[in-house]
Amino acid sequence: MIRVKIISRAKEIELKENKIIAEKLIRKLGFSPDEVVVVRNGEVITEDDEIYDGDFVEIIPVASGG
Amino acid sequence: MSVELTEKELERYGRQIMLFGEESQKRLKKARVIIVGVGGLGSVSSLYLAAAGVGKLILVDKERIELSNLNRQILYTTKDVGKYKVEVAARRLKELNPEIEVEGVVDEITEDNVKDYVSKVDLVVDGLDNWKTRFILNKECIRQKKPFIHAGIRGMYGQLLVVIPGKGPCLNCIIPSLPEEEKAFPVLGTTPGILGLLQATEVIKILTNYGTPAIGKLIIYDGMDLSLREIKVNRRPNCPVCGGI
Repeated sequence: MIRVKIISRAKEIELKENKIIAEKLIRKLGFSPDEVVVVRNGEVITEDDEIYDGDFVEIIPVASGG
Repeated sequence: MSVELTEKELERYGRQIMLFGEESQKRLKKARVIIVGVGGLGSVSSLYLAAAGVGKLILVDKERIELSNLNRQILYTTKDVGKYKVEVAARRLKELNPEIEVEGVVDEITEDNVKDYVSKVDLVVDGLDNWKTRFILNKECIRQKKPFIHAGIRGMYGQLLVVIPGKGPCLNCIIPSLPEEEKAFPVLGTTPGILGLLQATEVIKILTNYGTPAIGKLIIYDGMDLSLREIKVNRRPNCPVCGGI
């Protein structure tokens, strides 16, 4: 099970997958890879990195305003 | 070049000299900082950097003040609507601290002029509202090995990244491709206030060598549940911007 927390939507979901590519996860959640930072177990990963069963993933949007 | 502090400066900055000493205050006096964008973020960072005694501030922004800016751009008042932001900002900052030099430039940073602007200063503060210009500045700061203090905000949410070339990740390491631009974004005025203050704090730390700059940390502020989180971020070895240094 992969736990995913989406910061901007203040919600946490659980995925049954054993393994998923970060980009696939981002798209599955309705985001584009260039609008979020993906953090796996506390460290930023790239869209090509894999996420495994037992990982905790946070999806962090990046804000552009000033 | 050595600088001395006048009696007035010793009095003005007395409380922070108690904290980090006269030598650090002299480093601030010698420093030149550019703030690109004097909107919500830049209003706040520039005020505190002026108050702290950064010797020269260059403000770059091409916009005029609009009524809808005033919920967050606290350098400006209702009577300033219609005037160029940098002109009002430079005057306000000089009123706050006549000991420093403030230059306001009605301009925008482009691929063509970024080199000149960055070469004039020791450090660059991001007060922008678009990714395109941020990426231009990030790249030039890496090239000239100058610190770049990034922040971005939306609603009650914002992020901060301190880029010290060669020592930690750059903006491109964290955001590898240009995100979609958002024109009019929702924002509570306090959000750029908080992020702008964090930026000013990091600038003062870097210029004075006091404390530890937030290198390799993406700082996420979320006002919805009042949290300030620190996420460890690494350089991307294959980053096209900073991978070679």
